Amino acid sequence: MLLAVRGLTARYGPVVAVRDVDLRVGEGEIVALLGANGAGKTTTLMSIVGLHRARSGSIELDGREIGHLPAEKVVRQGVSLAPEGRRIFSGLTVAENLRIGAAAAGRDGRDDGRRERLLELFPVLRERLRLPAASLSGGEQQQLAIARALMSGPKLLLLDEPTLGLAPKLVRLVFELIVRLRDEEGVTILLVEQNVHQALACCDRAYLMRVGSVETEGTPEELVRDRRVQAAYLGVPS
Amino acid sequence: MWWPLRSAAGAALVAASLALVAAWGWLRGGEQTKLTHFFVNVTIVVALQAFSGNSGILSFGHMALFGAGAYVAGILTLDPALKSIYLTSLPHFLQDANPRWWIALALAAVAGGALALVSGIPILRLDGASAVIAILALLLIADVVFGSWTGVTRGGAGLIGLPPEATMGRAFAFAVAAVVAARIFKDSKTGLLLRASREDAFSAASVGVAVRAYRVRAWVLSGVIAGAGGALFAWWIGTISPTDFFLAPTFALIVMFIVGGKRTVAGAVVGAALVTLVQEQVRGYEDSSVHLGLFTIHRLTGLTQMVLVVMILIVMYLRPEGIVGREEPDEAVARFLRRRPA
Amino acid sequence: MTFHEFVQQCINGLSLGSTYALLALGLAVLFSIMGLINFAHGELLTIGGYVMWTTLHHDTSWWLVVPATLLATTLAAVAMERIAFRPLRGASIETLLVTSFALAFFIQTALQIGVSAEPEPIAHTGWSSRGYSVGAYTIGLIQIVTTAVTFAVLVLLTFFLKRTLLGVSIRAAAEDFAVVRLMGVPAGRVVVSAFALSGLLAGIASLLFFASAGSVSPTSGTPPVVAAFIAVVLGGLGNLTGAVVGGYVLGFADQILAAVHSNTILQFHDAVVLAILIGILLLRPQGLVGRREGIV
Repeated sequence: MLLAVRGLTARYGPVVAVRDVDLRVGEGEIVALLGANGAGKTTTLMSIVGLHRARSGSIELDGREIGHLPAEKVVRQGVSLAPEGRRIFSGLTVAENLRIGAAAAGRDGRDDGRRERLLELFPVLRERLRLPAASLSGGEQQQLAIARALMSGPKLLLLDEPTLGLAPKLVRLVFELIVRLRDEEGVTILLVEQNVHQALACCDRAYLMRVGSVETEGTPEELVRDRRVQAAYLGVPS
Repeated sequence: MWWPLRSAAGAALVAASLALVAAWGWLRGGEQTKLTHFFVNVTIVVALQAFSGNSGILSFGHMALFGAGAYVAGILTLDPALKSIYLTSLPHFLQDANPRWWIALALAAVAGGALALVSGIPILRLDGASAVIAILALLLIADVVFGSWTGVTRGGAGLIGLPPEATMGRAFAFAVAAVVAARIFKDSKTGLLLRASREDAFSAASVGVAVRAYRVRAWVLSGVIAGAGGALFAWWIGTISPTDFFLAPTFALIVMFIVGGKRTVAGAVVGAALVTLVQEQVRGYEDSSVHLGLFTIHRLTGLTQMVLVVMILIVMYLRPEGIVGREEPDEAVARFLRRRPA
Repeated sequence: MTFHEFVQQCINGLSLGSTYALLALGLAVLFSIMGLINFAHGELLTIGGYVMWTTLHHDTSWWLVVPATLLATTLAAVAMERIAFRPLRGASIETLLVTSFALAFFIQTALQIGVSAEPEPIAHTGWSSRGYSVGAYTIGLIQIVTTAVTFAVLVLLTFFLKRTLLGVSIRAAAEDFAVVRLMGVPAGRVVVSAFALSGLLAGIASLLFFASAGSVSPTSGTPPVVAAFIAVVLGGLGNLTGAVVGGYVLGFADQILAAVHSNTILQFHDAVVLAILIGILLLRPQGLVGRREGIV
């Protein structure tokens, strides 16, 4: 297992947002984390990368505990997050955003092979390298957020709602990219999504979260047959 | 019970402890000047609490309101013979004026409130750090006016020989009035909404314009209390000059406010007690010298301030909510009683 | 005011604005990253003044005074972060504000007790009072030096912030500190660098300010830094370009109004300038350069 989360519990003050969650992501997998708003998906990701500190349980990467590490060290272990809402540095240029993304790998990130490879995957960014990130469209900003997260060459990429607010055509583009990243770059991906149909179409396994706990897990085929999933997410009356 | 009465009753605990202090002063005699200072400090810090404690905007400008009250009361009650010598630009009716103390105090309170209204409407349209700095700018403006309007304020030389109208009884009465007013305001709808707005930026934004109006109300109430407190201060100290209303006293005021606990009126009173104690007890050592083996410090100028710095830093690192914390003492007692099985 | 007076006051405003801009930049760097309004910034200026006083007192060459002053203010700023602000990481903005206010008074009082409450003279070095006549205008050498040094600093700072990874990280941290950490940039390093940078800028301002001020006292840092606060808000809180713009606007406004005012208003000059600046803020609450941003 590349990532093994056991008994993760996370709180905001007295409120428990995530309760006793177990997650496993194998090398080369695309795993989707599904669930309604407030199910605790984002908190789970934030806990894994060390930005949410009020938590208990164990988080192992390649069998090594990383749960105690601060955010800046977690990414150095090879876990990178493209956060919800993209959160690109809008006052910086595209090139500068990518440069910061490389900081974890200790590279300068201006003209190296990694950036070259990513610009081939995201050609739209190459044309806009010198422009402020704020001038990018929503879809371009999302590609920048993903590319920035990949600059450090992570083993595990966490994507939080990468298609939120994008037009259907761009949603399709992002899902294609996710599959290409795994197939061509060998990146393992843990994906939080609201687009349940498309997420199930591209992932190897999925977890379904409900009010802070994992309700069920399985392959897309298993989940599609699950009555609870059908009722809640696929518009099939139970 | 009608809510203002309930709030006033809630403030009774604090008022009663003030009364105990005053009673002790009457019985003991001799300490009345120091206790008057305490009650004046209570008045001004409660004024600050009414605004900053509810709105969450820390004001570095209250000394402007306090100073306005002090100068108005000082100018009104200065001996007309002295006025004709010192305050040459004063209009005639003011030069001849020599009102009773309570009229002067009322006018000082009005002046504090008016300055608050005029300054608050523009300044409180700003938010967060911008508001903090704009309020600081108000303090600077006031300092320039106090210091440069020599025909009216006598500038840096200050007003000397103000009548000792601030007896302990009067200072006590106004401190209690300020405590009750601040508590009723805190529990009022305006106070409640203001406090809600500081806890949650989203709800603040959703009622945006209203929050600004509430802030101005708090600021004006604060100005009225501060103006009255300023009058008492002027009469208590007898001599006022611009430095009495600038940064160093602002710091002492902030210490009172923060150390006791900024969220409660009771905290403000506790803070005033501690700071007055330091001011009255440490000041005596400021002229002493200290031998530190190799060298000697000849004067401990600013020792009071140093003790205040240490006090506030201890609170910041160990208990940023202040000594009293989040609940008024009567609220804590009520909660404790409720929790016990009937 | 004649055209001639106007130009002369602009020349004066340029150098005054330069000092404000340097101080405002130091404040804005910290505000943008930590939300800290650093009241103790004025005390960095004062510390620089005392270092100049001690060194010039002993006839030290300017070649030593300059690095000694810069080193002292930079170290003092880093020490502030280590001792006062690091233990408060994660504390509310108000806690930071109050702590910096207390810190300012701590340093002032320590200087009062340790040195003296009275102003100490800073030896006038011939060059700082020298002046030149260009046509009908008088320009002080110190004004030329102040403006030139500030411009050079701005160019170097721009280079640092745009080209080096640390500089880019500082700008990114000003936008979104959490994501910068997510990218593997250590939070501590960014914060310490920001403090060091603000200390260095205060040191430069200190050299320029006290070379013409002529004396230093425990409270001499307060007025210029309070002016710089106003400049920062005026430019747009936390916006570095805005801080520079705000500093220069303040400098020009101050000098030009000084020429316009009649004698009776002149005594209230500072109050009038402040009132006008608050007026500008009402029209543009987000500052002259700042973007209006929604909540979050």
